[in-house]
Amino acid sequence: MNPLRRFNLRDQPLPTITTTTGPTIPGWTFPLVQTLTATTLLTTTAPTTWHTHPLFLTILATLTALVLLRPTPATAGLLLTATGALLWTTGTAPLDPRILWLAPLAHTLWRATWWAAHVPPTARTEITALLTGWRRTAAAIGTTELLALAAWAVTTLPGLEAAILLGALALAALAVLTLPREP
Amino acid sequence: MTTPTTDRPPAWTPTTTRHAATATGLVLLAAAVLTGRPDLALLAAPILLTTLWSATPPTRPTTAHLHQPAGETHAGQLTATLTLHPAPTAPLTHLRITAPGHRDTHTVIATPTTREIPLRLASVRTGPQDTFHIALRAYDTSGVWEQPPTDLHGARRLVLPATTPLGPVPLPHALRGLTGPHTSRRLGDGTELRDIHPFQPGDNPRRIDWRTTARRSPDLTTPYTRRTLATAEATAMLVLDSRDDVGPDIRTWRNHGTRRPDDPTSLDLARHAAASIARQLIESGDRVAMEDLGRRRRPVPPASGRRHLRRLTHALALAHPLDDRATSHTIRPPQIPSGAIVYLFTTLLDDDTTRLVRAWRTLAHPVVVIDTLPTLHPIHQPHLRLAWRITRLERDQRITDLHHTGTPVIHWATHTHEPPPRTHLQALARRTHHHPSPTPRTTRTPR
Repeated sequence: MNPLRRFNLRDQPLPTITTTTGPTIPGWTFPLVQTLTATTLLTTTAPTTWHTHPLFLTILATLTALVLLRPTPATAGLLLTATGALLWTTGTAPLDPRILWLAPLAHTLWRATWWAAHVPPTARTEITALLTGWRRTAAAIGTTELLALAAWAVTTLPGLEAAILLGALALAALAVLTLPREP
Repeated sequence: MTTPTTDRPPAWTPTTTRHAATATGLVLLAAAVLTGRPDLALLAAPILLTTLWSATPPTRPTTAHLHQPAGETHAGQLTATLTLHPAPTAPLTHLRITAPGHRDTHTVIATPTTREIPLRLASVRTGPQDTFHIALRAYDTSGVWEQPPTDLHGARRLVLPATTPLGPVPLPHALRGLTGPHTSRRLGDGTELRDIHPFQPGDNPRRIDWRTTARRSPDLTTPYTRRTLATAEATAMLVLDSRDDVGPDIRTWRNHGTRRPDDPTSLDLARHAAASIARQLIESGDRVAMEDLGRRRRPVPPASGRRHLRRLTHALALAHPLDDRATSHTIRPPQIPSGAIVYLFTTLLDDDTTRLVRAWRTLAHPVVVIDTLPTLHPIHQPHLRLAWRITRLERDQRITDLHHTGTPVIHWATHTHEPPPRTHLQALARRTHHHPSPTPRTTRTPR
């Protein structure tokens, strides 16, 4: 006899409540996407020579586990900051072209963390719910890509410092606009 | 039946996503300025842009209605419809739906417009049942604003037992009344020929058999009449032992643990059996009464008709154990109408019911015991297996004693390879029909 069965009152899980919805995906998909995107962000930002370094592997495992176990916006922001630090340390100055795909990946991690924070692994999420606001997301990522391409073009021209200052001011204005205000 | 909407839903509140996005953006921005690396700022640009897009909260809250169908509810039909009225810019709704004996259901759905979500419970239980409890939380498109959880409670509903069509069921030996669906052994108005007899004062002249009269009395001095057997009705008493309600999992007996709602308990089986037999008897035109052993109140008096069947069904659905068996009072034999057959629905887990059967048999009431103990699940715990072994031996002894007294015991919960209970009931009905009890004294039909 399986000794666990002595203490397990339920041999079978309790029945579920039937809800009629559209096609859904399970809630554990979001931690999975989180893990994949976090690992991809960190490993692709770091140079390949670091991939076997114990310190890097420890940091990678710690950050991934942190964002997986505590899927909050703060941990996702911490992981993005770490990605930025790696990009600054190992990327090509003044603008690393990898930002063209790192920025959408960072946004994917951000959204996956939000979903993982709000949806339990046993929950079901409608695919149409995932796709709500896709136009807004596409517009934001498209704008970012255009900015990145513009910055990439500008960095190859003379007067680099002024362009960076101008871009920084624009982004600072953007950040100030996102500050919470009284409705 | 509609449950009122979420009363006064709370206002929208910003989530930590907004603060975290701003902080991350500012940190990366400062790093970009300090290091002269615009790519660091671009890393946070999509997050800042989508957060900026949701700067203002939705204008009104998301509300919901829970609509439950009115009228009678039968087992397996516990349904409801949730209607969501979302806020204009809040197309995400997180539902946490709970119900007794069911796993919690978390669902995130898209609600761009008003939407109806059908809900259904897997319960096969009967009687008063608690239904849905729904916690609802709404989010805007970017997850920057959220509406705190609001609760919706479904109404408690009375689930009526379903019925199974049965064939003939055992009837009492002594039929009562002056009319009814059955042919009695008394002389009277009816359709079944009893004999041909010389005409007597009081006989109906329309029943004179002229052929027999011409053959036996050619001069027509003694007319002969066709005499028939009177019709009558049967009275049945349904005695429901609602003192205990045990499921197929022995670990849940005596109110331990959670019983599965998709496993019918002994009381569900008793309700189903009693409702099926009552329906069969009432559709045949017989009179049915009901007594609940678990409650001290007036029994449902014998009557017939469709309305009485509904009354019986509701009384069956409302029967439930009131207290623990160990502290229950010693039950007294209910009063049985004269000449009635008794159908006793019990689990036979104690001696009280066998004592009742003996009392009824002493009064010459035919008794049919319907064993409503469900087919038990395998028992893995040694102490429970030992306890059930002792209980089963005692129970088998009671069944054997009942058989020795001539009381049939029919198991309502049968395996798939066993004949259904209706087969046993039909065989029993045939047996009692072919071997009736001693014929009562014949009386003339009063005119």
